[in-house]
Amino acid sequence: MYPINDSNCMPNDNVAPLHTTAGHIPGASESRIQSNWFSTVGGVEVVTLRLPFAKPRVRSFCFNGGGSQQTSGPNPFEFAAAKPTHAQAAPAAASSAPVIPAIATATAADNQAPVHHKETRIRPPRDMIKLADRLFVTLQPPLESLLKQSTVDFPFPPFEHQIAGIAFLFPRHVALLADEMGLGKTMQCITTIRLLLRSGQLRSVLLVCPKPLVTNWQREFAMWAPEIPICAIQGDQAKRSWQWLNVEFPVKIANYELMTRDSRLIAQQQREFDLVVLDEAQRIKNRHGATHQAVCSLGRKRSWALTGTPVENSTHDLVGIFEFLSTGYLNVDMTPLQMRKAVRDYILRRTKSEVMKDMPPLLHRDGLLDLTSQQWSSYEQAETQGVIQLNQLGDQITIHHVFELVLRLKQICNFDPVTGASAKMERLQAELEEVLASGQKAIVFSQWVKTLEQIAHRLPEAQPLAFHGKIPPKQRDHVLAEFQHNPQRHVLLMSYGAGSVGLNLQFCRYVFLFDQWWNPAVEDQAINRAHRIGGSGSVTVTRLISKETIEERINRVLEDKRELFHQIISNTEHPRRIGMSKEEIFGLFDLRAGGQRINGLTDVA
Amino acid sequence: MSAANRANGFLSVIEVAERCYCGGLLVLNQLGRPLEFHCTLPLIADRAQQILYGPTLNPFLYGEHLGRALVEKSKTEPAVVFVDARESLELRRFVNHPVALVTDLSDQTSCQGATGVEYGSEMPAHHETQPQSIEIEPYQLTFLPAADGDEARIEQVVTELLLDVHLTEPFRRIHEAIREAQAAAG
Repeated sequence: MYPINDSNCMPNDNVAPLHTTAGHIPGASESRIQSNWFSTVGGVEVVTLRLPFAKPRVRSFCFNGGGSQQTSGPNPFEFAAAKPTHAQAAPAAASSAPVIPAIATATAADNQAPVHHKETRIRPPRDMIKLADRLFVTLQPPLESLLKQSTVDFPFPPFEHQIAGIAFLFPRHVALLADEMGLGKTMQCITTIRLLLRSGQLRSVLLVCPKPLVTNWQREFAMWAPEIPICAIQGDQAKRSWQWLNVEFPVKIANYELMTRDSRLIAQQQREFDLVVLDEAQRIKNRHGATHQAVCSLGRKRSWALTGTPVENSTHDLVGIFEFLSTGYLNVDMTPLQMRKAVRDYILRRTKSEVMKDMPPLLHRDGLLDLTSQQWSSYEQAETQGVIQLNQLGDQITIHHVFELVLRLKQICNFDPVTGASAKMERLQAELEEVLASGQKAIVFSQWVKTLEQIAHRLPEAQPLAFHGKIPPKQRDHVLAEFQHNPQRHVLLMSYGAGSVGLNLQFCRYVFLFDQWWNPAVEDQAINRAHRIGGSGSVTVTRLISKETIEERINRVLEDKRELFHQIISNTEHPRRIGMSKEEIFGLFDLRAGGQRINGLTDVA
Repeated sequence: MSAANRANGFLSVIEVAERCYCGGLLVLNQLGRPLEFHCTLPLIADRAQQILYGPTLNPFLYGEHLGRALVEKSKTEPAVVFVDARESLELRRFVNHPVALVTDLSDQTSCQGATGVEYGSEMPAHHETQPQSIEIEPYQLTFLPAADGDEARIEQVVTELLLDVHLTEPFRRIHEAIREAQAAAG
């Protein structure tokens, strides 16, 4: 369109005359100096030349209605004041969200650095084709200015990276916000939804999250977008059917299990949402799962996914998420490098170390412990017998048999099944004494409820609270509030399954991983409950690992997986390995059975 | 025109390749929102033109040639055209509204002229007037006092604009938009 060559020179309608004596004129040949006539003055031959300067060609764009859209349409960058709705009359009742403590309200502008010091631009995504649309986005004022001019208030000022995240999400129909846990993906998503609702670009939003996080999202909406009526889909089928149809609530929140149950109902209603957001989107990484099918069948104009761990085990995870975002865009045959290039414009990933220079430090202490003599005795016996039994299975051996042995050994590493002896417990008690003495709070994670109960039994003086699968969901908010506000409650015992995602426990300074999960991403999520924005000091993470046991062997594999994630998401190197394969699982023991003879799963974690 | 409906132009010319220039004019409303954008196709000044125009080449290209063509395309008449290069001040001779060079006094890297040369020292001989400046913190506004009232108009517009617009920020939008247009052209 804009070739840079002389052919752009336009007809000679802008002429500068030049008079010179005949002879060589530098550059004359390439400058199209035109010789128009010769004349003789007083015996000297004079050449009169004209220097053509092409009249500039101008492309014009008018933005009365925004980009190439109709002039009557809403301007997507005008954030109108919130319109009161019938449902808004009682938003708290509608959402059943807990009352938020009063927080001093301040506008973004009051708290942001002056506009000219910080400019966050909304840039057009690559899939925005029309130049007029792209320019319309490009030429908007910085997001800070747009927010300053609007009536959008924040309970406290967003961080710079959060403003950048909003600028990323705002123009995108397909987006994966993959920030590390603790950087405020929830706030960025809610604020962007808020702006899009106010600018008339959205009218119906469905947010899908794990069931334990529904109340967390309600709380966050009440804090960051209190004027938006939200509805948590729940109750019997008749009630849910009504809720799905109700247009009074522009934002609906549903959990994954419910989505699977109601997918047919939604299909019958032929609902199309302006936006569907999946929180903890790694939940749909399995493309053949019912949850995946349910969310992919939703009618929608925009698709966003939120997860700090888009790649937990392999690139297949990312393919699964993108099947929801943009069906068919990725496939499993792509190399990691091809995939990385393809998704570059759709993924925003920041780590705390990148963006939070003032983030409280995270201190890792791996507590490598010798088992007690009783534990050693039980452990050696169990491993020896277990390996013998596995070998006896011959060709019938599957990965599940190996899993059973791994779990049995890990449980012995926690507590001796006969005597209850535990090197980890002794260490934990010693550590917690210090925590209690300093008035701090700690979270202890385990993958087993039984282990958490054993720990609780040994810590009567700490009055530990429990947050795991046996705690009814209705009580969980109360448990968290008690832990946060009661100065006598110093310890929270959490299972990875119930407590590793979505919770904000940044007032905790200590995290103990009593045992390790199969997947380091889950472990990182657990750690990040405490290591978050707003934390009041350093967070110390202690992983309790039994020396020369299955735990130490698994830890080595997990370290490799952690590295894999960084290679795929964070830099351009090829991943060395993908996931914890069956060979790796079998490699935990000295088994005679070869991986190729095993009828088990390929990826296990 | 009331202040609320007032529009202002921001004109910038960039050298996208050696001796190859693109101009962009962004017309903003009082809140800094874009109303119009006009950009030129790249224009090459060849070697002969460089030699023959000498030091007047850039003022000619920035102000008279590219700037004038862009302003003439604008459907909304700007109250003031702000420029980021001294060379563009020449535009004032061809338009009916004030033209002001914006210099951010708090920014040491702020533009002093696209060529890095003080424009006043190389004004064409036909100029009877030299640029004048006023300061409205944190900016210095430089203009050719071509007509009575320019100074007052500039002062009024800048004072109103400063509530919502940082005066050097729109030039960055223009540069980005020119790059965007060029990328679209392949």
